[in-house]
Amino acid sequence: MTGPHHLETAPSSSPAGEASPSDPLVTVLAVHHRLSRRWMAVMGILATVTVLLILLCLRVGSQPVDLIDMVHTFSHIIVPDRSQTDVEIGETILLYVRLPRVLLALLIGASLAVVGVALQALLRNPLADPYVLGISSGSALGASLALSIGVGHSLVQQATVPFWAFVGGIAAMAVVYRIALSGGRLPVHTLLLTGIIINAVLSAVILFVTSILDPTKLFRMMSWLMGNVPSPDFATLGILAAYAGVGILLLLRQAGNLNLLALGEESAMTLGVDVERVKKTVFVLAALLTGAAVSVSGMIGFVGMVVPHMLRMTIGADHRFLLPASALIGGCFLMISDTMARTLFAPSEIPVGIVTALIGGPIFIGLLMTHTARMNV
Amino acid sequence: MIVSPSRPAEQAFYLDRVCFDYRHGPRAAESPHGGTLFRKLTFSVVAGEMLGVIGPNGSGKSTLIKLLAGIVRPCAGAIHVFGRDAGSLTRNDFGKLIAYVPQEFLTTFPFTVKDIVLMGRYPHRKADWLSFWGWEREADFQATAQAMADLNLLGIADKSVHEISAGERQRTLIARALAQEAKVVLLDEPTAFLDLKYQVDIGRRLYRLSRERGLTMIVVSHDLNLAGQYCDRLLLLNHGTLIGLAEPPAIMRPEVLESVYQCRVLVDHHPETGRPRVSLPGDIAGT
Amino acid sequence: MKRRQQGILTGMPFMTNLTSRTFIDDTGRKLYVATPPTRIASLAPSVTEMLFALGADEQVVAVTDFCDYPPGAGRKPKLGSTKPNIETLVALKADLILAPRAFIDSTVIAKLDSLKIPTYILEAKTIEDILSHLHTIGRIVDRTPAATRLVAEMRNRIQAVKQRTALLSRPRVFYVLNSEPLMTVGPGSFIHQLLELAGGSNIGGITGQPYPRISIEDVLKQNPDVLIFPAGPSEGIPEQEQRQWQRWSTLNAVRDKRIYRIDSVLMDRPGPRIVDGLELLANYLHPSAWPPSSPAAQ
Repeated sequence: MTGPHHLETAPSSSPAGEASPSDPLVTVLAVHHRLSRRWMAVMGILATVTVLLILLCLRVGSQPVDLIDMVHTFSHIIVPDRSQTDVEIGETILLYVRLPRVLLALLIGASLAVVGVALQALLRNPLADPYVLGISSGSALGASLALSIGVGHSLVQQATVPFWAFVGGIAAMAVVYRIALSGGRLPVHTLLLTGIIINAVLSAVILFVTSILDPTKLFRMMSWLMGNVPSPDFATLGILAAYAGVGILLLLRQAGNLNLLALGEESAMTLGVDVERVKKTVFVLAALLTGAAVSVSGMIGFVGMVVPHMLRMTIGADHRFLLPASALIGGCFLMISDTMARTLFAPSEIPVGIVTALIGGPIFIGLLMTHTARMNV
Repeated sequence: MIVSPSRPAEQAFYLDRVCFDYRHGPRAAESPHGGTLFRKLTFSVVAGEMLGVIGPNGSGKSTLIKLLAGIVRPCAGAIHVFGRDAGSLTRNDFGKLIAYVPQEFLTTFPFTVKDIVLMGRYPHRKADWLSFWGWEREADFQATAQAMADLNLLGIADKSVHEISAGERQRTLIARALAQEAKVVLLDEPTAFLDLKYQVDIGRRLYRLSRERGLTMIVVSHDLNLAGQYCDRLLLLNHGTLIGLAEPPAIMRPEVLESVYQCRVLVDHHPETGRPRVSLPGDIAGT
Repeated sequence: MKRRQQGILTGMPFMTNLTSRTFIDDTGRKLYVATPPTRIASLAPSVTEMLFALGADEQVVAVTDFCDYPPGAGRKPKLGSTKPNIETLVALKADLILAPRAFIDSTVIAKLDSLKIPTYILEAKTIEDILSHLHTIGRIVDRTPAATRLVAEMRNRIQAVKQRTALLSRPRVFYVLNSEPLMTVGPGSFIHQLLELAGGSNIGGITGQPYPRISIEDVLKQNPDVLIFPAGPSEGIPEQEQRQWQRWSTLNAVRDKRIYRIDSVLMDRPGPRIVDGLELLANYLHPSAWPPSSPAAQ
């Protein structure tokens, strides 16, 4: 946070020829100097918090796990205990159910939050979220059609619900891109409008599909759409982690460009940004990440919209801080929400989207009120 | 009528038969003409001079500035920037040579004054896979701090742009342009929304900075008198045609202005500087 | 013979004694059906099966798109999927409509009432309800002997299952209603009753809800002995998904390879075939109680 600068006579490092090393000038330099170090400090703190939260979420569940048991289990991975022929149920739960699920929640939350930030900058609109460009409706339609035909859910094999959902998302991305593209450029207002219209049209198609489904299938489809974080096997988790990791990293690279873009395309152009290329890159990356997230876990709202705002209010609008912080905090947010979803009413579970709304909403409102109060002082 | 300055000097810009057609431009729908704006426009801008671009609405002033800034490209003809063909320059090269100050900017996100001025250093960044984004270095901070000092922004350096006045926002944009350490600064109506005090203030600063740093400045202005006060030469446009490019006394003549602005004006001399001064006709409130 | 007006009786005090042709449906509405209806519209597969089982197939003039059993039902004129087309019903001149409560909403009922089309709403919560429905429908369509026979046969079969499994220990069973999200059945749903009646202990019972989402963690903790997947041509959990369950090697069901598929229509249609479902379940849960030669084991 660019905090208030205090007047201190720091050892001046200004070279000769400087206008006048007045106190404010020197202090501005002093505060600024640590930008990259500040980045490391902030990210270090957030990363530590994330790791601690992962451990906490692993502990909590319908079957609480002690720290000691956790250590034992993890040490068994590193040094397999040959004496045990059967794997204990507790270990199975921790390693094969909870750990992949918690990590997947982290990945999905990170993806959604990062996409939210990127789209808000791209569209220069604070109301944007990952679902505003119509990709998620495409995924939902793909999933609905797959479910109505009766394909399966497993994440690795072909012709499964996530596969078709992803195909649907990519198809929607292609359609939106093609419609919004004009003269080789991607005008932002056209993009937004196209996304909104595609959302509306595809939602209507989904409703139509629901109206002709028999009740069992309808029930399955609605349940899928409500959002759910599954427990993948490690191979699948690895693939998803690589996919999301690369996507998020490529978006992080655009942070500097997004800073400039957020102030207007013309200014950005004159400062050396290849505006059209950046817009297209961000759009495609956002679509690929969103399509994948929705395919795996259905539509989970709030993460992509609220986390960017919460962070912008606390650490500022510089995307070099905002993007990675969103990844970590978005991941933590979904991780915690999912843990609550599977624990609060155990052994039942509630849809994770409900929890993200119920905890995200009040936190956001609280922040908004303190923020505006501070501004009015 | 084009009057070149008395001594041969380096040319910041040389426009060679530049054509610009709104139909092929990015904002075809917004054009008031719906057709060709510039036909074979040719003129040059001297390095280090203060050029004022004036003309009625729709004459193409903003578009001319955008052409010079590289935001739009001409349909035909060439623009030379310090001897090099603009078409051969990358965006980054442009950014190092030319700074652009728009009329206003979007304030959707709570960037601070410092953040924005620092963004002016973007063309100078060294981004590679190691440093990923190219964090700002010592020189960048120096330039930023200097620019902010020159425009009296140090006191509000940490304020969000939402919290400052229009005049302060404008100074922030100018400071960003200065931080770029470019050779040319293009300003699109920098005093359009400002109070008298700020108009004078900014005019003064621009003049001083231009002289101190040897910058070429091209200022689009609605205000004839302001432009006449501190510009070395004036460029008068009308419907995309270059009516005149000369020192203020040559341009600010009643017959010239009346034919362009379609309005009777009185021209006399400013009592303090002797520069031409335009007054409105006296018959607004009756004969 | 003068046809007496068929229709809905208002609850007028002096009409409190019910005639033999007055019926009260599961929502408390009174229906007066003077003569056995000859043009019956069925709004659910379970109803269609019941009508055909009672021998009233000739009187059925319309069924839903999902009515696929017995084969003759598929050939009847179709009414649509979930929301019945009122115009078609009127055009058919139906003189009785049988619908489960979940498949019809109050606006449609009100419309049918105003058009004076007798509508009987069914709501089966228990197996006993199904048997009583068969009786009532038998009375309405005047096939009481057939109904009595059918109900008696069903009761016998249910009793047989109970007897054979009474003294056996109850295996823990998990019914995979849906995979992602993982859902099962609990108290309040038919399938739960069938599982318990077949001599099993439904793990979903711990949630207390009829169709809860459940965490795989709890399934692992509860360690079912038997896994049941609903299967069928258009519904159910596909093969590859059932294979995915193999990774939970700690489950008794996986280790002992007691994973079964059961035709879902036998489980969730509250009609005559529910006993077939019950017998199949019992067979899966207690294979020892059904020697390979017995017909039910086929």
